[in-house]
Amino acid sequence: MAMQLTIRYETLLKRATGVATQTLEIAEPCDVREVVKQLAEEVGDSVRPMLLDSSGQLQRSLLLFVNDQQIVGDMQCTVTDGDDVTLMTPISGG
Amino acid sequence: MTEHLPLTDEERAVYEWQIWVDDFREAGQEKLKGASVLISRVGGLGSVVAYELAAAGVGTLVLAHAGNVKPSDLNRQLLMTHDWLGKPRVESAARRLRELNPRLNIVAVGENVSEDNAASLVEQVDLIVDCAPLFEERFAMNRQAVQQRKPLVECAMFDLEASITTMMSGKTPCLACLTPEKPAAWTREFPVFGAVSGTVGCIAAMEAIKVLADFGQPLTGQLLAFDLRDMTFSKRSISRNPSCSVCSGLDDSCST
Ligand SMILES: [Zn+2]
Repeated sequence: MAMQLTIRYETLLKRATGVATQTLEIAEPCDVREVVKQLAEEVGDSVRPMLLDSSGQLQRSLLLFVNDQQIVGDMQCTVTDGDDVTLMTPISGG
Repeated sequence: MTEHLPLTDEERAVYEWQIWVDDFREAGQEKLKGASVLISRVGGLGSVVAYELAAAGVGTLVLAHAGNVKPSDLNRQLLMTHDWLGKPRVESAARRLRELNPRLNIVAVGENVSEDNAASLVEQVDLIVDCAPLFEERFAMNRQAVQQRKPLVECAMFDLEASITTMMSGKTPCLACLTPEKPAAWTREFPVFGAVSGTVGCIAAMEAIKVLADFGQPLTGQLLAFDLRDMTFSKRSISRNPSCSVCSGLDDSCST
C-alpha cells in the first residue's frame, strides 16, 4: 500500500508554489532528501531552483524539517507513512 | 550576565505593572536597567523591538541603521514619521525613543552592520537583536555574536509570515547552522505588512527581556514560525550543524 506524506511549504516556497500543503505518495520509506527530489520533479521550473541546485542536490539554504525536527548537514532521516515534511526558504528582515 | 542597577522612585512608578510579574519583580527590572542591547537596523522589525525595549526600561540601546526616511518605510518602520522624510532614520528613531523614555541611554550609529563595524558594535552590548534585511549583514553579526559569546535574537518576516529564534553561542545553532548560505531567491525588497513585522518585533523584544532578566523559557534551539494569513504557529526544533563554518568546535561548557 502506498504511503502518504504531508508536505508543507513556507515563506518564499509557499508563495512560489501557491499552496500551503499537499500530500505526496511514496512507494516505500526513504531518506527525506529523496522526497525533496521527487517534489522537484512535480513543481514548475520557477520553483525547482528553490529546492535543488544545478547539480541536482538539495539547496544548501533550504530549511528542512521532519515532524518539526530540523534535518541539518549530513543528518539522515527516513520518512514513512504519516510523516510531516516542511520546506522553508530562510527569510530575513528589514 | 548584566549588572543590577538600583531603581529610582520614578522608575518604580513607570515599571510598576511589569514589576508585578511574579518571576520578574524589581530584581528583573534592575537587570534591565543595567543591560545594553544592539539593534541591527531600526526598520520594520527593529523599530518595534527598540520601542518595546525602551518602554520596558532597558538601560542602553545601540541602534545601527544607515540612510534617510523614505515614503516606503512608513507602512512598518514605526519610529519614522511623515515629517522626518528625507532625514536620517537613526535620528528619527532616537528622537521618538527619547519622547517615550528620557532616561534611556541611546548610542545612535548611522551605519548598517558590516564586517568592518560588527566587532566593535557587539563589544558594547550584552545582547543583540538582528533585524537586518540582508543576509550579508546577518552573517557578519552572527560571526561576532558567536565569537564574543553574546546572545543573538534572530527575527525575520516575509509577506504575512515570520520566524524567530534565540541563539546562544556554543549552546544552540548559530545563524550559519540554520542558514549556511544566502538563499538565491531572497530579494532586498519584498511584500510585508507592518502588523507582521510588529508582531515578530514584539516577540523579539520579549525574548531579549527574558534572556537579560533571566526568567521564562526563551526560544533557544527552537524556531517559531508563523503565518498570520491563517494564524498557524509552529515551534520547531533546530539543530547545530557539526560541520558549521562558524560555530563548530565551540564547546558549550565554556560559554557564559
Ligand atoms: Zn553554527
